[in-house]
Amino acid sequence: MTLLVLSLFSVALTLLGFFVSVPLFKRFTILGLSLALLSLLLTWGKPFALGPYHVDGISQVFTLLALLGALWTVGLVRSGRFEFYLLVLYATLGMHLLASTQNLILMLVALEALSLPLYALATWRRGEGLEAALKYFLLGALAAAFFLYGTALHYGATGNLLAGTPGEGPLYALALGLLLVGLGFKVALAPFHFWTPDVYQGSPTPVVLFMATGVKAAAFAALLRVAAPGVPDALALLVAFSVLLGNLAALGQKEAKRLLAYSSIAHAGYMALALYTGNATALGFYLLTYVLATGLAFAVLSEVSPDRVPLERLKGLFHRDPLLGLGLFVASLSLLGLPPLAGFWGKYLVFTEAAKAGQWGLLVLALITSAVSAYYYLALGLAVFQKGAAEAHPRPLARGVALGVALLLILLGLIPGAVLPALAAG
Amino acid sequence: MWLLLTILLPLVGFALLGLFGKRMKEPLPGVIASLLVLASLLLGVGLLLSGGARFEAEWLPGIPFSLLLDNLSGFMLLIVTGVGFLIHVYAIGYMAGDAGYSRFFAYFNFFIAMMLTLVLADSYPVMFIGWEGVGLASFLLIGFWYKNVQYADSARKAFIVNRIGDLGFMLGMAILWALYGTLSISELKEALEGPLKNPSLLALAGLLLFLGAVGKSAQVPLMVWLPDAMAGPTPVSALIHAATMVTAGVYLIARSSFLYANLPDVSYIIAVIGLITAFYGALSAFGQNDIKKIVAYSTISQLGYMFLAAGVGAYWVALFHVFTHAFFKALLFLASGSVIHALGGEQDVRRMGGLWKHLPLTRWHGLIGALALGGLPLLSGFWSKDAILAATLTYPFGGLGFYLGALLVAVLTAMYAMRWFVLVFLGEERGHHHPHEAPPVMLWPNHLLALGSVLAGYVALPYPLPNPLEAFLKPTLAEVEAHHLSLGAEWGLIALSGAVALLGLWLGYTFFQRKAFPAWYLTFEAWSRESFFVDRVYNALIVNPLKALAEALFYGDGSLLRGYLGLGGAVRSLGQGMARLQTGYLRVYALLFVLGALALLGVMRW
Amino acid sequence: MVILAILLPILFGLLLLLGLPRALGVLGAGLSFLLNLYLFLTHPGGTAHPVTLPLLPGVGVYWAFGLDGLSALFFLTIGLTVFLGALVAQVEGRFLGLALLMSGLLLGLFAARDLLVFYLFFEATLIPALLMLFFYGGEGRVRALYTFLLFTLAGSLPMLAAVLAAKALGGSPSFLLEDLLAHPVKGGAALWVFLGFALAFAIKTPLFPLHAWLPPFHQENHPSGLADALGTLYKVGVFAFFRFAIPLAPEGFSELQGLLLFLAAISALYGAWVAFSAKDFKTLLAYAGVSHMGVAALGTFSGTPEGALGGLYLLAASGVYTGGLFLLAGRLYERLHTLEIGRFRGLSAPAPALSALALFLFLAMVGLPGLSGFPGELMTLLGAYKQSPWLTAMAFLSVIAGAAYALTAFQKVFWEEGTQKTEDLKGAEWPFAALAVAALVLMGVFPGFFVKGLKPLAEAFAKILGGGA
Repeated sequence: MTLLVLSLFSVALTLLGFFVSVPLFKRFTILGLSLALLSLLLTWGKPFALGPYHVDGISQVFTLLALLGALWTVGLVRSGRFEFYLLVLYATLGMHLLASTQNLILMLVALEALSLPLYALATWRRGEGLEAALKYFLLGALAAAFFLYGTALHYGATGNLLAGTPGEGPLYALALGLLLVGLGFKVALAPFHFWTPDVYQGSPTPVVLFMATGVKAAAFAALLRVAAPGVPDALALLVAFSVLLGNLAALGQKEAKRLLAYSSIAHAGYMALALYTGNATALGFYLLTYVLATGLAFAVLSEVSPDRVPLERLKGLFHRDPLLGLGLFVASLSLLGLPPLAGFWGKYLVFTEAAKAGQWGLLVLALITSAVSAYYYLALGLAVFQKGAAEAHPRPLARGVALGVALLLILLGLIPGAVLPALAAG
Repeated sequence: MWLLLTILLPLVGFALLGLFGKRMKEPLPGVIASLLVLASLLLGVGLLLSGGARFEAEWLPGIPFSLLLDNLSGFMLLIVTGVGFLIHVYAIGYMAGDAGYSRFFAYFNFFIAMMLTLVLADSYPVMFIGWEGVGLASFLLIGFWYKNVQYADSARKAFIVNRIGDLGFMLGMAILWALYGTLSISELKEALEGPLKNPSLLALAGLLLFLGAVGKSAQVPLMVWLPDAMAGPTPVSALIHAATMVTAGVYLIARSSFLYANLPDVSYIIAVIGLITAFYGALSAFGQNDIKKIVAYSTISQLGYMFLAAGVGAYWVALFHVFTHAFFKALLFLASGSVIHALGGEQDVRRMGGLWKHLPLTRWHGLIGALALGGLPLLSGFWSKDAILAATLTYPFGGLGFYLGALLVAVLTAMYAMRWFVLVFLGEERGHHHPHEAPPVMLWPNHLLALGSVLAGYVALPYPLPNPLEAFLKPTLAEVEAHHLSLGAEWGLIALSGAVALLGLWLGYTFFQRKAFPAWYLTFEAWSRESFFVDRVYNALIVNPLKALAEALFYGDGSLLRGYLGLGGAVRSLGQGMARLQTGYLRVYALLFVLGALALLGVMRW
Repeated sequence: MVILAILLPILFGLLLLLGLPRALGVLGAGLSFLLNLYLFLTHPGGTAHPVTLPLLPGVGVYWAFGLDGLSALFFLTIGLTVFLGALVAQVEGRFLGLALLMSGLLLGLFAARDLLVFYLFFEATLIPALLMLFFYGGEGRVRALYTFLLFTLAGSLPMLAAVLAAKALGGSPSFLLEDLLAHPVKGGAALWVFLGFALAFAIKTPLFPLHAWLPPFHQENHPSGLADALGTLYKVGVFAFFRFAIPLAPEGFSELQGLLLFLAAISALYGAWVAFSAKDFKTLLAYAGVSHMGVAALGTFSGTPEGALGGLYLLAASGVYTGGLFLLAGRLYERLHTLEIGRFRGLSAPAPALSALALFLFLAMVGLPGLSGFPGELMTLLGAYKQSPWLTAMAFLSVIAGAAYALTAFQKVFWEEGTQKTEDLKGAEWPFAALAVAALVLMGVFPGFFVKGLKPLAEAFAKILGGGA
């Protein structure tokens, strides 16, 4: 259903784009994404399979998150060209596919399907954006090569292309390692994260929002499947690198988007902890809170400026626009994982998984580094209250969404139980 | 319940005067305060006559709030409320016109309440409530004229020095609690009747409790606060720093006699400290020029006597001396107060003299007080001092030495008592004042105290004369074995000590009327005036180093914080180092990417 | 009932944050105090008003609250201190709102019967504390804020691992306190679990040398003392050791007991000593707080029933008197616009009632018998001595040092010859003074009434550690 809706709209809108006005086109895009969301919710909890295309719990949860990210991106962007919306739609389709298959070949295709539009989106602003996008593209190609090689070895080791096939031997281990590199690149796990700061800083903020939410969701879905039979112990290295590098490097950042880029690396590290037990619910909930919080942060930033947002420029935002200011504050605290905000429960759930798997060392490292992260999250969150002359010209809807999402973060923090069963049922 | 009321009455007075005293007219606050103390006294007497009383209420788990009125505490109650009442009355006149009139009586009543708590307590923590309470009252009253920096400093010093002793008291309690699981005095008494558990630890407990007594009763080495405490108004010195509070330490030892009777080593230490203090106080009294400080050092010295008695196991004798001392020392202070009052605040004996003709009543008070202090035969001080001397001689561990020491102190005491009297009342007038005799409200208490100073000794005369006091107190005190003196020896000693006292008095009387003093005396006087430099030594060796260390620690604490911040900074620069990997060059990224992948594959379990 | 007591101040706090007038906050604080007083007075013993609602189904997290003797006591002191603050602190409505919000969270922290819920409140309380410091603090507030924040989180985030481990390694089916107590962590892991808790709680106590965040925190907070009073109440380390860390991993505690006792004793002495050199009121009170918490911790770490009871009672009492002193400092600041001790002189003459109030508070702080500080100190002494005589003796040297710093400060400010003209107590300061003094006296004279709910808990605590009553 969801696949059908997305594909239909992608094809139809490609043609339609040449005939209708851009605002109308935007509405069509939103309609398409909403319908996809609706179809997803209607079939919630009902598995469906068609060849390698396989809708199950993981697929639904992570597609939901990707769709949320896409919708938000589209709603936020003020582009005068219809291609932007179209590219988002294409990428969303790729994400849905990536989340909905066990077949490694199809995964590779889906990966490319979601990546190529993103490369294009990353170039949306010329100049610096172009350079960053180029890096993203080239490194992405490298990662794809790793993934492809991994796929081949996987086939060699197990005799089939289904991710999650148990196996053994050096060949199998090598295959898993290579797949891990490929997907680790997409979710921005260190040391495959190098594109992230440059691209986050160079791309338009709505695109960054999309990368931080949709791409992560879809790639983690794939990671869950790949890691299902057992996590390669090298994952610990990635987690450790990510939480250390992400949090420490963020400390000195003066620009909000670059700061959030490092934060996203750290969060990828935390999320990867859930891979140890393969608990999709925990990971899904984490991603949900992360999507909401980081989405809120980027949404507020994009209302301040579509370009770079030095922390200096955030000062006084609260006085200029209390809702946006509070939104950013709440988002920061949720990203930090301070109760009673939703981010805490996300952390709690994935850390519980790490505890279940006996990864105490990683757990403590993650916790210590997240204490360090308090420094930069607070710098971000408190900047809005400081004296300054922040500029912001928010649309009424944006303020409403900011308020809504902030309240949602608080509400989810108080009654996380409200959505967990739903996620688990998916 | 009635027993509690004896404490509550003055406490109510404190609350009443503290809250509403400012709106009352003089002398109403003083009258109220005095009457409440009188009521307490009468109530106490009534209860005592009816055979004692007990009170117990829940306080802390395992530590009830328990009071006990037996002969021992009753005896102290009489001193506290009796002498206390007289001094209250005296203060009505002495404090007249002071801006803090009602405040003074509020504090005074508070003191009586706390002193009664201390005395009536049947458990150490309850005694400690009173113990600290009187300390607070002492602090507030020493610093009564708080605008004077020196006075305020003295008040603080008194409290802090006392706290050193209090720590001893507390730790002593902790040991007893650990050993016996109770702090009730009655229960401990029973528990100690059997064989001792862990005698060395018990000895430590006794020593620590004694440390408390040393602080409160201004014994060596914690005696430094008492002379400074003279900063308070004179009735305060009389009531708190002579008659009652400072004897609390003696009372503590007597109350705990069941403990100390089992601890001969500690008792020996007590006796030695007592004797040293007696010497120190007596020697220091010679050089003082402040009329009250002379009396203050004599108090230290006399307290030393009491501890000497308690140390040699003659607990009732110690209390006997507490009793007589309360009269003559209160009298001396109040007479000093009248003198100060007469001279409009003058306290320096060098600017006194010749008051004999100006103060027709006070001069007698002064004389009787000085003679009683000096141990003139047949006055109260003579009997109690003699009882102490006799007791030391029966002490089996070096009794003779203690005796001779105490006898020497008796000579010194008689001499400086006369020095005080001579300098104040005799000779020529050295000041330029117009002395006037005190009003009746100040004179009458002194009359009664003078009477007491003469007669108080007759409650306990040496064998075979009647000694009702010993019989009265004995049941509440522990017995220490000592050999008895023969009748002849005892009376021989009495004669000796009487002769010694007379000698001392005569020496003092003649020596201090001289115009010029020999050089050796002047040297000695210079040392004595500075109390043998104990304060300075303490300041140099203890107080100042501790203060300096406090400053050092304060700045050190700042560095600790800076250290933590530095750690934070290090983490931050580590982060910046990591961020520097983000060079922007694709080739670096690709290299690191591949290296990372290799590392990843390298650590995999193959 | 408990839920209501927790939500009431939070609700009022939120209303005030939305801009309602300050008077409403005073009303809210008053109502909260009365409700807490009612809960305390009617406390039947055991765990009263238990509530258990699912929070995270399936993983054993419940909104579980209940009021045992210990919680009830802290409800009372928190309600009282916050009400005292609301009465006199002349701050804007939003500030008071944050304070009320924080007090509600603190109540939740003390009433939590589920480890994770406790953690939730433990962390959440940080937010209003940070905001008060950030919005109303002094010049150096940002640095103080980060110091405070990072210290707290450096302890509390790793503690989350211990929280998870306490359940996972102990084999408890849920985070409910009863379940956890029935399944304490055993063996080698106990040490690590305890260590995780201990670091966080030692920072929050605070124990030397982890106290460094406290002085700047107080120095930079608003001079009214309201935030400081709440901050004092937030020093829940000793409570948390008693309720969670030690019972959940007693074996781990046993291994570290010596070290902890040592640190507690050092804190007690060190804090008092350093306080002597403090140049302003808040620094003085900060270090005095370190000292008092050291004593309280010493009692709890002794593992004896008396010691634990004394330590907790001291903790409860110190919330009131230290909080009261911070508020008093605020009163002085309002009059003379400084907190520097050396700038005051001789205030007793123009303001006798104010000085009497100050004296009461100072004396309660130095543990004068008959006031609220003493019973806790005494019981701590009796218990701690049994466990560790020498350290106890060292810690109680602070009795002397405490008298030195407290009376020195009192003398400088209120005695000696002064020229400053100062108003005496006025307006709302009268009920403030009356209530504070009443609390100090009642808690000092009738401690048995206040600790009766504590006694069975302290005995159970000692039993866990193998010490008899």
